[in-house]
Amino acid sequence: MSNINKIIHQPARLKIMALIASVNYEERIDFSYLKKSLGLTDGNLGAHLTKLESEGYLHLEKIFVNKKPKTYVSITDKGLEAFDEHIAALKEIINGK
Amino acid sequence: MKEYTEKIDSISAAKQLEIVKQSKLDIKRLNARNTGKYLIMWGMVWALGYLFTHLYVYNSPLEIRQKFGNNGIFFIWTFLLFIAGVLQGIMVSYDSKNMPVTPKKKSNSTANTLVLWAMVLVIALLAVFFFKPQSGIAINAFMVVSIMSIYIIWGIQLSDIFLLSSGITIILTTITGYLAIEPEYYNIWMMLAAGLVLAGFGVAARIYGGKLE
Repeated sequence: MSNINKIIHQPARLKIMALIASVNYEERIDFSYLKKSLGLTDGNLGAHLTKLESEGYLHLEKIFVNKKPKTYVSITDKGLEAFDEHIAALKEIINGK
Repeated sequence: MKEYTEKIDSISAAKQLEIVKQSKLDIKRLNARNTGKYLIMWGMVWALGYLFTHLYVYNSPLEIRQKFGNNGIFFIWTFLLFIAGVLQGIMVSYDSKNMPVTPKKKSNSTANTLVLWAMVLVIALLAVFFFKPQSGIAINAFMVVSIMSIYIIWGIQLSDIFLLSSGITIILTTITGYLAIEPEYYNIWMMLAAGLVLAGFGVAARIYGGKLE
């Protein structure tokens, strides 16, 4: 039986993980897009990302593009595994297992 | 962890899965909107190109037509089509660096684009050399089919229904134009059945992208 992941279960973090897990594994998502898509403030999103990064689920990368600082977020193997397990657990609950 | 599981009922689990589904659709919509932008741009270039070719071929002064000939203008237009494709490829790869979703590793997308277009040109030149097409229309149709084959490959690689559908549709309309349409109406046919159809797929991608599974 799969387990619900307490870290990912939080709605904002679930959406962050779902968005990042939806892109190809070789790709990363811009912080600004996540902020706009989730409707969160810089601070709030930053706190969630830091939490997910500290769990080893996400990788944050700060680089300069055209002399402007940008933060990109990508999923790790551990994050993808944890997300898949969380989804499996949700499906098991719905199916009454 | 097990204790926490027991507190979640099927309603909140379903809500969570709905959030996940919605997020996946958001990413699909984002990708489709981006694809749509380029299909519209490229489709309009084609539509205008075919319109100008038609106007030139059938309305330009006799001495100019005699100088270049109908085939000549098709060669020029096909060459311009090729140049426009290369420029658009470079623009797409440059633009992709500022997109919300970018590759983790630095990719040589500009170089890859140039290699891809160079391959199209080489294949087209080899085809002209071996098959010796008798008209400018044949060369133009061949070039369009070659370009649209790339769209089909991209569509499969990226699982993009709009790229794939536009590639298949325009190959079919181009072959129809070459085989079944009177040569004097070929450009008008291609303006509508290639240029505007391509732009139409772009509009559809922007409207329905992310809504279609």
